[in-house]
Amino acid sequence: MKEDIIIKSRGLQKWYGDFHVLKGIDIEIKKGEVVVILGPSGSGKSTFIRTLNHLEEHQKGELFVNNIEMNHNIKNINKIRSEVGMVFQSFNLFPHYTVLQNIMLAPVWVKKVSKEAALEAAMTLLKRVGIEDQAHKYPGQLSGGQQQRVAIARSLAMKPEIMLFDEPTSALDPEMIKEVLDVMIELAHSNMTLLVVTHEIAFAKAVADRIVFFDEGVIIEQGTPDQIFNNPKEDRTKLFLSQILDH
Amino acid sequence: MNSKIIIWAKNNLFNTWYNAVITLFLSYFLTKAVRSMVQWIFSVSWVVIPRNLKLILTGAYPVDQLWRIWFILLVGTFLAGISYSLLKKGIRGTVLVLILVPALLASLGFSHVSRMYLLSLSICQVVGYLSGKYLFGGKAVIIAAVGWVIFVPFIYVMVNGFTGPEGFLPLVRTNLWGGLLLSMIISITSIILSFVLGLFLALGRRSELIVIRYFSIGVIEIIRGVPLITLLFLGYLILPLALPANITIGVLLRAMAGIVLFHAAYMAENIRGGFQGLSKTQYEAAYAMNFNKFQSMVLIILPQVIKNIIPVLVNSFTGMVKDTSLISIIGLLDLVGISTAIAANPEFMSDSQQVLLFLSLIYFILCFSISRTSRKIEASMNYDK
Ligand SMILES: Nc1ncnc2c1ncn2[C@@H]1O[C@H](COP(=O)(O)OP(=O)(O)OP(=O)(O)O)[C@@H](O)[C@H]1O
Ligand SMILES: [Mg+2]
Repeated sequence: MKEDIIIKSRGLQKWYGDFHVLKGIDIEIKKGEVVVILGPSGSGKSTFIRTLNHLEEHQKGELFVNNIEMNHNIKNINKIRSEVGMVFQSFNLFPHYTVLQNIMLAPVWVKKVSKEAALEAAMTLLKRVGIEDQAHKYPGQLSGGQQQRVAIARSLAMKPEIMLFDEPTSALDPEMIKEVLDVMIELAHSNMTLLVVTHEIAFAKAVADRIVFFDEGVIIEQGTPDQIFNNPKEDRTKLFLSQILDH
Repeated sequence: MNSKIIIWAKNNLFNTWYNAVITLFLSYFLTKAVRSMVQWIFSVSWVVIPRNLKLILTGAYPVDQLWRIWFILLVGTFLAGISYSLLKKGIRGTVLVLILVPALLASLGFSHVSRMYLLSLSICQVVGYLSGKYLFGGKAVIIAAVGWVIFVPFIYVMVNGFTGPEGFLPLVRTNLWGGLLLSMIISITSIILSFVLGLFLALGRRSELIVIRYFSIGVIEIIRGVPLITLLFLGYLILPLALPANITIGVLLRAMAGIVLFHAAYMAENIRGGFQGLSKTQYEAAYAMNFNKFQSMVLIILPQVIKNIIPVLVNSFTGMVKDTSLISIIGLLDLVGISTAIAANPEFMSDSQQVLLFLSLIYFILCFSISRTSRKIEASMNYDK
């Protein structure tokens, strides 16, 4: 494997019972690349990015994340998870901890960082996502946009190499989408590897190095934003783009 | 003021003709019932209560060792005082009542020693509060938590003792424990142990290991299919037969085993309900952040599960306190057992109603305080406001 390839999957397949969700995904993603995954509902986008940190298990094919093979070995899984952060559609903050505790919890308990160091890092991250004044509130007291920014900060606190985003703005009111996208744009420019499932075309056009189009468990087509949005080759891509651009 | 009451009554009691009828009907019976109750209370002699108070509260516990019970209470009130200092809203309402009640009781016609002790119970709460607030500062939380954890074994050591008859804490055999003391000990033990055991059963039921899962399901379902009273008798009669002849365990332990097992099964189901109510996404977030299973459970899942089921837990806890009264059936002299014993005394034969009413009052106070405390705890765990 080449040095700068950080995610590599070959013939990746997955079933939910009889239902064939991923029908052989081949992809190589370079370090620092920003990849936006598009595709209709139910095409397996979430399932795919969730196999990358073993929230879902693939059944066939091979998957390497940061040169570590994803298999049943719990050590490998843990190593991979420590390199991969994830941001969910529904934020999934821990409601019984304050914003600060949410961010400090994993560094302190998983990475065994000292409390002081974790606190300092957490405050820096909160400043970076622009909500240091909410540090002592509980997630339930924040707006959706603020919660999602806390969730991003929480993932960044583990200093991951890769960040996965699964429709991070889909649960947000329109006026809050921008504040979250701004944070993500800043991340995209920071040389971190990002995989983003989203319907935010403007975001994709602005920062994506590559667009990957999923349908029915396979990658139909991929390329630069210019290739995909202006010259899609496949009919299914065209159809999908016409549907979402009409909105 | 007056007109407010009238308006309220109009809106709530007499808003329709049938509500008016119900209101009148009920108030007629309520007044009648309350009046005959009050008449009865004043017509009977209550001397049976003070004469048997020691028996009701501690059973046959040796009188010269009663200081040990008082000492437990003093430590408990001190811990309570520290805990008050952690309340966000300061001392109010229930807490104030808790502080004042012992002092008020001290003004009743007890012996000198008892009055000193009662007064000290109030003082200990205040001292605890003040030291929590001004002496311990940020450490008060830890001191209170550790204190309460140690407090339970401390109760056993104090009540049971461990030295010979000449030592400073002579052994007091469990057949001398009785009354409220015994009821409380059994209640506290069964609440704590059945919660812990229930938690393990609930976790076992969710385990990926088939043996553990089916074992837990088996235990839970079998126990839930059996009435408590049968379990008590089983513990009482069968347990000694099942054990080797050279091991004997006291009646109290056997009774406790039955009660704990029984409630653990129900507790397990309560906790399982809590697990099911928690969104799967909390596990995902925890695993994605690389917490291991144990950390995810302890730091992220369990606190939320327990918070969500507090009302159910409290319901079970009060149920347990009341269920302890069943142990009188196998001859233990808890509150109910003692009251039967008192009624058997020819001198007080005609006074059993008074004793029963007094018992009900004690049970009510116990259960009411549990539900009040739990509501406080629940409110303090409300993170959204
Ligand atoms: N746990 C599961 N069990 C069974 N089927 C599942 C499960 N999770 C997802 N699926 C199915 O797998 C398919 C792909 O789901 P996935 O969530 O990956 O789609 P998606 O592309 O992310 O769609 P969306 O845009 O709606 O989020 C869907 O048809 C879904 O119903
Ligand atoms: Mg999805």
